[in-house]
Parts: sequence; structure tokens; C-alpha cells
Amino acid sequence: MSIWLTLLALLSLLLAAQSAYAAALMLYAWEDEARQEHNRVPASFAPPRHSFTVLLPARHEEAVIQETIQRVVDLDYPRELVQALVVIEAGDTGTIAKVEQKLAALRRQGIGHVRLLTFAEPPINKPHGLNVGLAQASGEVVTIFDAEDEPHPAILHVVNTIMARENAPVVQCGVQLMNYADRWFSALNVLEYFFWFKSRMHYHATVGMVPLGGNTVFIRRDLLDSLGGWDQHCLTEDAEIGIRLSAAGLPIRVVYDDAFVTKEETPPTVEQFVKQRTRWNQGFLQVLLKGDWARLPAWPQRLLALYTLAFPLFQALTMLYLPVSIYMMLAAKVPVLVAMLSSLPLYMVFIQLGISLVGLLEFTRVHGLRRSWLATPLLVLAYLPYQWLLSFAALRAVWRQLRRNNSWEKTAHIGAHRKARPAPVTRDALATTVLQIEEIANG
Amino acid sequence: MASVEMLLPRLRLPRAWDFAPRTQTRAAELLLMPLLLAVALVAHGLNMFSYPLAYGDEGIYMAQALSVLREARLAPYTYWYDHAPAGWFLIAGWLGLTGGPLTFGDPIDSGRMLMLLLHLAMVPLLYRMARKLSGSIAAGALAALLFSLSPLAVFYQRLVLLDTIMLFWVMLSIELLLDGWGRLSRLVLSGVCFGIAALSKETAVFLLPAMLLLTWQQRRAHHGRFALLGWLVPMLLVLSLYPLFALLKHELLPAGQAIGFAIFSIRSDHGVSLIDSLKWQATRSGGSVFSLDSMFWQLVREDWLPRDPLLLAGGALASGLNLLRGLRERRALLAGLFGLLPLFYLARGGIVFDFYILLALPFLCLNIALLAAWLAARSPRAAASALIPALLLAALVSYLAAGSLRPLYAEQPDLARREAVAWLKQHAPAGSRIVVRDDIWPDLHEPGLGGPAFPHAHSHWKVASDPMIRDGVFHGDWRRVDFLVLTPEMRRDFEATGNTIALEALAHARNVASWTADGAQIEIWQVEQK
Repeated sequence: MSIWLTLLALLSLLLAAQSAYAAALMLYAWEDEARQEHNRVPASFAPPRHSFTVLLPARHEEAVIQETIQRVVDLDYPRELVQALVVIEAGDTGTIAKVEQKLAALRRQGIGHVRLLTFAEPPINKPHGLNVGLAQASGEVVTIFDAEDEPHPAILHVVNTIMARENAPVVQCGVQLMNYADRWFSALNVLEYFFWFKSRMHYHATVGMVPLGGNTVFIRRDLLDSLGGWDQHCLTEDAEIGIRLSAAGLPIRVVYDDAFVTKEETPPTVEQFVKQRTRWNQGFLQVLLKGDWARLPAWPQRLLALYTLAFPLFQALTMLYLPVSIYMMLAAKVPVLVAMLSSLPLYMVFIQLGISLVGLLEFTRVHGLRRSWLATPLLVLAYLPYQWLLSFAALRAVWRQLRRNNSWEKTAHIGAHRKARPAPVTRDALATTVLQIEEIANG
Repeated sequence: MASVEMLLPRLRLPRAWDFAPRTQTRAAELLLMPLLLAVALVAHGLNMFSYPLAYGDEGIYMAQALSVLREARLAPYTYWYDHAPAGWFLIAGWLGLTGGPLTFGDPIDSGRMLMLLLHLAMVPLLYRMARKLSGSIAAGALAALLFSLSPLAVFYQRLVLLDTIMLFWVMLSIELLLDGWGRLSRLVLSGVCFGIAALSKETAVFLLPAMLLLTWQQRRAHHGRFALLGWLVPMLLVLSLYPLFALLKHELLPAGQAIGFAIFSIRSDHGVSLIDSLKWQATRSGGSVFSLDSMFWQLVREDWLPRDPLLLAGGALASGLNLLRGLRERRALLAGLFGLLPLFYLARGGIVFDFYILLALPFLCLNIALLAAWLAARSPRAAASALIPALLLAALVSYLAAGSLRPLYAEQPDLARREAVAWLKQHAPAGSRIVVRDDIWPDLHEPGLGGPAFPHAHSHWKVASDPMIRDGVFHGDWRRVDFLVLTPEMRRDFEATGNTIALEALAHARNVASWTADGAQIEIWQVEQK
């Protein structure tokens, strides 16, 4: 009995400590005013010097791809220093037709720095597309935008300036979901981005272990070449390459300025949200299992990597623990001290809710959005269901990772079948993506 | 929001650790601090074990600290939520660190040693607060010196009281907030400190308005909306551990209350409850502030003013003036609030004990210093530099003239208590059942001090009203009493609490020893005609 009580107390302490740590990371940006200033966009821009290759991987993006190309063309930077490569799988004829139509229109205006690249060989996914683009890239710096992105027009100036002044080899700029009021879970999803890019990413940069974001990330091309490009078998190639860059000891500069973020949207449905999150979590697990993080130079980096990659599991554990915590408090006959300790994770959940509420006020303020009075109570109501959704996605990722491994070991022909119909993982095409992966896994 | 900010502009405090813009003054301050600490050490420490005569409360807190240390319990008797326990947790930690309660003499001596350290810790904290709010080194020194030299302050700060522990945490909380440039983590720590303060003595919450104003004004510019919550949430989190503890012990709600039954099937096992105790504390009346016979005015007349009219009346006046100045100068507003909120608490008409004045003391010193600095800045050059030293000198002369310093260093009333303990340790058998005042309880329960421990020595309050003692130990029968240790006011207390066991025992007892020392009087009565 006393061993169980001790274990319970230790588990409570551990979960509470991790929640407190997570809360501290959410607030890292507000800790030090001077540092926050440093992480903003510079007040003046250096003259354009670096040349850029913009990669636009796309799949089934007929609806938005023309607009996205236009936005890249509209970037405020000398066109002779920009190369834009739209990368599409050859079978996606609908999107290809739209792109060709757009390119023809641009050529008529005398604009010729955008090209279309297609590829037919598997796997059909975003990292493969990125590698195809990288092979044709000529800019000194390679960057990525997703098909629904709205990058800030001056973003290349920002990065050029930082790279020129600080000799930074890798720059990650802010990405922000914007439509916080669309669905019940939107606000919390938006806030995850808000705290991740505005705050937590800077902590990662300081420690020297940065799981990079999927777009608006700028990497010197020679580095990408020497690393062999992106990992085509990883579901989160962005975080993966971030860890390999960190392991190579490269400093990663994180810039966040509310006015200069790349704007994105939350997934439209709960189903798609869960699938997206499952993919990220599973990608993190893949990176964890791949073990590159163990090659990070120092223990603080390795521990942060371990913590970050396993974070979804911690979160899931905390949520599963909540009912236990409440039972301990009210019904179980355990010593008062143990019961008090077991209520600590519950406390931390309330604290994170509080931080999220303030975060919502800050988010709407810095982006000049009018906040409906309903937004706050909605956030409170949605908070726990959202956490359970995240936990579900985390557990689902584990389960799928295990199941895939099993099926791969059992039957080789299913692996061949998967090669014939590999998993495409462009972020937008996620709904179909995960469904396909599941079909494959179910054989 | 903009209009509110115009009403309450930022305090514009100097940066953390920036004592002054010029380096030579910083060097001067480095010399000043040891001087202030030396004055504090002598003024507070000299004769502190012998004067004042130990209060019953000192014994209670030492006993409860020993309970925490030795038995992992909150109190030797049934804990009934009379006060939150953080204060005696600190004392227990101190006793643990220093190797037990007898290191400095008897248990209360150990407690008073801790009070000395807390005072020494508060001196630089108060100095920095005054220094930052006034911009003047002299004001900082004046506040610190008044705090260490005022007979009123010395008298009450020597006692082992939760109020002093609470004040230390409050001052630390303010110091963390006043770190003008600041980090969010300081804000969080400040909130935690204030939470601990309120768990040491609940009266800290009366300072909340000033704390919130300070947080909001000073930090909002730096941390945006995270400022107020960054302070409030950790504070409430720490504070909530107390009701949580009560909830888990099934002692939150009054016994048998319908809501408690319905929701949690929560019922107190011992008939004690946090809510009951809070209600009781909040409704203990001390007479209206408009009645000059109220406890507040009685204490002002008979205790506080005679000990130090300058600090009490001057401080109250300065607080009021600073509050008025606060219409234009926000730092003065803040100081005035800190000075007046404790006075409001004391005068509000609830029950007041003499030592409750502690809550006001550092802030009265602060307000006098701030007002003096303001006056000095507006005086002719020659008068300006002499004003604060002259004020200090006047204070010292008035203390000497009134004779209020002498007893602090010359009288030793506590000797009577020590002799009574020594007599019992020598003459009473270890199994004796003794009815005592709380101040000698820890001495008697502790083996050593020249004799055995007396596990059956009990507080007369508990003999009167705690069923476990009245019925469990004494079986409601005066014949089970062997000794009574009596101070003059105890007969009245026996009658007031209907303590028939003690009264009957006393009627059948013989005075076997008595001591007087500097006005203190203690007698030991042995029960004989059983």
C-alpha cells in the first residue's frame, strides 16, 4: 500500500512539474522584455544581398494555388534574387493545370522566375517534393511556403537583414493561425501556435534544440545539401531537419513579430484536426525513435528534445490522470498529503487555462481583432474537451506507430502495397492523407 | 483602458539594484547597510530573551512548531483552523535547522532568535522599499531606523508571533514587485510570497488593494495582461492549499451542513471546520470604531500611544498626507495605502489584540520617511540635509525622555517564568497533571531544562473547552489536577471560560511557590485535599 502511495505521489509530482515547465515555456517570451525586443523584426532593413528559392509543395490545391503563387510573386524583394518552385506530384493533373494556367498568365506579364516541377516516383509526400525542389534550387537560401499560406510581403527583407547582420545560417519566422472564432476548438488551436512561435520556440533556440516549423523557415542551401535534404520517410520532416541542424551545432535564429507572421487557418473539422495532430505526434515519435536527438551536443539539448518529442504523451497522461486526481481528492481514503499532491496536476491544468485566457486577449489585441464577449466563456468550456482531443490524438499516434511496425514485420507484401500507394502528407491534403494511411495499414 | 492609464500612470521606479544613479552614493549605501543592521541587531537583540514577558501565543506557536517537527501534526491538540499553519512551518524548519528547541535556551528563546533574524531581514527590505518610493537614501535609512528603534516596534517584534512572520513574507513580496525592470518570474515569486504571507497570518489580505495597485501599475507595461494574473494566480494557488487541506480532511464545511452531505458526503470527524473558524474569526467583535470604548481605541490609549506616540500618530498622519499627495504622485499614493490599510483593519470594529499593530509598523515608518523626504526636497538647502537627521534625533530624545526605551533593555520579567519552570522540573513528578498557561507549555513538554518532560501538562484553555482534554484526560474532575501554574489574569480566564475543573482545583490547592520579577507574577499551586 505505501509503495503504491509513494508511486502515486511521485507520479503526481512529476506530472505537475512537467505542466509547470510547459506553462513556463508558454510564458517564456514575457519573462524578459529586452529579449522580446531582440526577437522582433529589425527596425531597418539591409540592402538585398541573399538570393532565395521559395519552395511551394502542393497537392490537390486547385482552389488556392493560383492565389498562393501570386502572393509569392508579390513578395517585396528584387525578383532577380528570387526563384519560386512549385512542386507537384505528376498524377495531380488538376493542380498542375491550374499552375500552368497561372504561369502562362505571369509570363505574359513578363514574370518568369516561377517554375513548375513534377515528380512521379514515390513516396508522394511533402518532404519528397521538397527534395525535388532542392535539387533544382539556385538561391543561396531555401524557404518553404504551404499552399494556403499568407506570408508577409516584406518577409524576405526581414530574413535577408538578419542573415546579413548576424550571419545566421537558419532563420525561423512566426507562423500564426488566425481564424480563432470559426469552430469550438479554433481558439485553442490558434493559441497553441501563438505560444509556440511567439514564446516557446525562442526557448528552444536559446537551448540550441529547435524543432523547426513546416514553413516560413529559411535555411542556407549548402547546409541542406550537406545534410542530404529532408527525410522522406518522416511524417514531420520539419521538426526532423530542425533537430539534425541542431545536432550539427548550427545556431537557429527565431524571429517573431506579430505584424510579420505567416498567416494560416485551423483545420476545418474535428476529424481533420485529430488526423493532423495524430500525424504530428506520430512524426515526433518517429523522430524520437530515429535517435538523431541523441547526437545533440549537450545534455540540456538532449533532454529538451526528449521532452519535446514525448510531450504529447505527457499531456495525454496528465489528462488521463485528472479523474484519478479528483477521485483521490474526494473519495479515496489516502493520507492528506498524498491527496494534496495528487491534486497538483489539476491545479496546473487550471493555470494553463488561465494562461490561455490571457493569451486570447493578447492575441486578439496584437492582431487588432474584435473579440466577441462569447470568446472567453467558450474557451473555458472548450478547454478540457480540447485537451482530451489532444490526448486522444497522442494515444492514437502511439497505437498507429505500434500497429504499423507490427504489420511491416509480419508481411512484406503489405509494405510493397504501401510503396505503390504511399502516404502523401502535404499539410492541407491531410484528411485524405490520413485516411489513405489507415486504409493501407488496415490492409 | 487608455483613460484609466492616464489616471494611474506608471510609477517609474528605478531599475532593480540601481540604488542611485551615481556610483559614489552606491558605495555610501554599501557602508550604510551594515550600520543599519548593526543598530537593528543591538536594538532588537539586547535583552530580548528576558523582555517582554512571554505571551501565551508564543508558547502556542512553539508547541505547534514542535508538533510539526516531531509528530508531523499541525498542533498538539485538535487543530481547529484558528490560523493557517505556514507560520509555524517556518518555525519548525528553523528548529530543525538549529538542532532542536533548546539550542538558544528554552523553546521561546529559539523562536525569539528567529524573530530577530526576520527583523534583520526586513531592515534592508524596508530600506529598499522606502528608497525606491522616495528616491532618497536618507528616507530609506530613516524608515529602517524607526523600524529598529521605536519602542513600540521593538516590543512587539521580539515576541514569537505569526504577524512578524507574515510581515517578512509581505516585505519580500513587495521587494520582488518593486524590482522595477523585472521579469515575469519575479512577479510569480512575489505572488507566491504573498500567498505564504496570508497562510502565515490571514490579516495579510487587508494589504491586497495596495499589492494589486502596485502589481498593476508597475508591471503592466512590461508584461501586459500577464502581469496581474502572473501575480494573482500563484498567490491564489498557494492560498488555496489551505481550504484544499481542509476539504481533504473533510473539515471544510461545518459539521452536518446539508450541502456538504449532498455533494461530497463531507462531514467533519472532530466537529471542527475551516468555514466555522473563519466565520468565528470574522465576527469576533471588538466594538465600533465610533465608540471610544472599543478595543481599538482602548489599545491606542493604553498601549500603543504610550509606547511610541511619534510612530503611531505621526505615521498615521503621514499616511493620510501621503495619500493626499498621491493625487499627483503615485508612489506617495501607494505608500499612503500601505500605511492606512492596516489602520483600517485595526479600527474596523473587529476584535483587536495589542500585537495586531505589527501589521502597520513597517508601513508607518515608511510613510514618515517618505513624507520627510518630500518635505526635505522642498526645504531650503541648509535645512534639507538636516531635516531627516534632526527628525531621528528628536525621536530618540523623545523615547529617552518618555522612558519608553529603558524597560526594553533593563527589565527582565521573563525570569519569573523561567524560575517557575525550573521549580516544576525539580519538584514535580513527571506524571503530574498540570494546568498551565500556554507560554510554559513547550518548556514543560520538552525533556531537559533541568528535569523531565511533563506529558500531562495542559493548557487551561483546553482544560476548559477541548473534550479530549477536559473529559479524556481530566474526566471532568478537579481531583485529577496535581498542579496549577497561575498568573494574575488566569483566575479571570478560568471564570470567563467556565473552567470548573481549574476553579475547583484551585479552591483545594495550596500556594507552594511564587515569583515576581519586574512586574511579572507567577505562582504554583499544588492540589491537596483530594
